[in-house]
Amino acid sequence: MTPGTTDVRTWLTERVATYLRRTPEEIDTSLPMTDYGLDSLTALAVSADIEDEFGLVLPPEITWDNPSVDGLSRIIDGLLAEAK
Amino acid sequence: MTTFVPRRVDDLERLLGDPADPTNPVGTRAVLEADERAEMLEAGEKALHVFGLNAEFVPPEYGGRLTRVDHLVEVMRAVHRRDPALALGYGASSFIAGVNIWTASPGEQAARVARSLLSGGRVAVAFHELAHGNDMAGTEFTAAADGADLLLNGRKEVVTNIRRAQDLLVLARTDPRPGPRSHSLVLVDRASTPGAGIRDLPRFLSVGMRGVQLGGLEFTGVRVPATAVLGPTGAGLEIALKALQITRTALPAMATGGLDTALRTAIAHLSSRTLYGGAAIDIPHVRSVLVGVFADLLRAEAISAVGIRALHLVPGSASVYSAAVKYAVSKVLLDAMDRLAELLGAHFYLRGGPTAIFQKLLRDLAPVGFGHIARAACQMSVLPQLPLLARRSWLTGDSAPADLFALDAALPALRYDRLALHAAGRDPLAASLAAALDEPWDSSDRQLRAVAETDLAELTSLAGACAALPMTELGVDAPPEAYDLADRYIALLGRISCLQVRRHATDPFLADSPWLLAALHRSHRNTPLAGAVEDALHRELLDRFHSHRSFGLAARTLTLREENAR
Ligand SMILES: Cc1cc2nc3c(=O)[nH]c(=O)nc-3n(C[C@H](O)[C@H](O)[C@H](O)COP(=O)(O)OP(=O)(O)OC[C@H]3O[C@@H](n4cnc5c(N)ncnc54)[C@H](O)[C@@H]3O)c2cc1C
Repeated sequence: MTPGTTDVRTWLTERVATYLRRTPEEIDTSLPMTDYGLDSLTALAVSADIEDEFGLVLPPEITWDNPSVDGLSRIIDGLLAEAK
Repeated sequence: MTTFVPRRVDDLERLLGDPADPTNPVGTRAVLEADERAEMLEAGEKALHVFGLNAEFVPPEYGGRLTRVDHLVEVMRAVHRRDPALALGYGASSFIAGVNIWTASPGEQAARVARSLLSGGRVAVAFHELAHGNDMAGTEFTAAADGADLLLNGRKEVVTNIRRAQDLLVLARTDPRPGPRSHSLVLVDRASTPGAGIRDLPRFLSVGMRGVQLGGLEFTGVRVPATAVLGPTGAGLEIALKALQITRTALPAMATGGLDTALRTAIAHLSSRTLYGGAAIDIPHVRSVLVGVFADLLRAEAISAVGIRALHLVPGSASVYSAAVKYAVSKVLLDAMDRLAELLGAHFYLRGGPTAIFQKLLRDLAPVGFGHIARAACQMSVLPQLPLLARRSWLTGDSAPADLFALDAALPALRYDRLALHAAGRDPLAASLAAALDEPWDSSDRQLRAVAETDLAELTSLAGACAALPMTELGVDAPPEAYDLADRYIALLGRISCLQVRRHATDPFLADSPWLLAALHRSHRNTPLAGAVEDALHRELLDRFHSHRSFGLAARTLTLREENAR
């Protein structure tokens, strides 16, 4: 199974890369984003972007659980499927 | 009769007796003597035990009476009116520990703590370490896994009742790595924990709350079962940041009881004092200051009331409203106490005589500003939320349900599981301003409407400034100017709260406009009120003073005085 649809994952990788001032190619999507120095406020900003982009409501704790881009994409996919 | 005051408050007043009676073991004289000795008032603790005060801190599913936070707060205000140290030292610190336990773990551990509290036990909340203050994530006390056990090491300091409590709720590091999942809550049952590795630290003496037993403990290799962790390992900060929203709201709200007594003391003193050939209380400036303090007390209670109701009705936004209540109410109370101190002059400085309770209240109230969480830390917790709140709610969001403001409306049960780390931009309180202005207003309220329109203009301007803020730069290193935005926002929340309480009030005094005009005026500036507003509040103030009613929103008859006077 591929983690996350490519759409969501590509979008998220780009967002995260922008916040971390890196290129998307530099992000290993299987590693916890905190490994790249993503702090709690940036995580909050990322989750707000996700909510705005996909019209979702994410559980606030999500940003605290050190997800990877892959993991977070999977959660978004799940929520999108539920919303359908 | 207002439903936000439970009947049992009268039973408590009766148990505590007449404060003015010098032979009353729980009267003002005894309270002051205990303070001079830096001891808890023993007779007061006994009376609260007879009343079963701890049941106020325990949810109904565990056999307690904690169904409505407004009821708890009214009960505690009655204790604060007599002795804030008794309120904190007998009970409120168990309440702080309690909310964490009820939030963390509905289950056997919670049931055990509830049984202990209901039989008069105490549970201390051992979060604080001298070296780290508000920086909870800096906690160094460790709980390290060792087989089926945990080994506890480290110190907890300046903790109420840590020595005499049957249970300790400890915030401990369970993972050496930095980050939000590195701490856990550990419940230490003193009776079943070997005492050998636990050392009592000398008591911490304090300026106010002198009777409160502030202590410390040092743990060296103390073994507890791994089941002592409440909730999942690593969830400590998450649980605490959610649960403490309840206490950040309720503790400042309770403290208005102390200001009530301080105002009463000032009026009594200034009425009996002759200056320049007349009663001091008739000097126009004195009268103006007293009325201003009365308006401030009402304002503090209106802001608190909405924050308290929000815990029940919109718990998902309580991360914002609890910080706002703590920040706003503490400042109103501290400033009001300072102005009363100026009126009392030398008599606020004397430790004897009929005004002696004032200097104690002044000292005891001070921690409302820095204890539990610093006011600046409240600002900081709101800061990163501002952009989303501005974008998603202020001008376009869903308005609050009317019950948020209708003080006599029923409240749903507290849902600890609905508290959230942040509000995700949901702010039904601020959004209620634009919604209110869309509704028809009575023509007699033209002046109020104009004030509300000015507030909406301010909210619009603030939204412009906040929506574009970079969220990622609003942490500990946020520029000081950003704190001013939090200050403006919290001021608006307070003003909207007062306005909405008035619009939904059924009580004739609260449904009338003078108190609200005064509250709104005073939230901006410390200048005299318009003549007619001052006159109306002055009449109400003296009427309540002479008929022995409380000065807050409840205007509660202080039963005992009434009965004694007959
Ligand atoms: C009467 C009393 C009873 C107490 N009981 C208990 C108890 O039962 N259990 C317990 O664990 N503790 C207890 N404490 C300790 C209390 O919780 C601490 O006082 C509190 O944690 C704050 O620590 P600090 O004042 O040393 O503040 P520090 O964190 O050292 O803050 C100092 C100042 O730095 C600034 N500051 C701090 N944080 C921020 C921020 N985020 N943004 C901007 N500025 C900031 C503020 O101006 C603040 O006042 C008690 C204290 C008192 C006085």
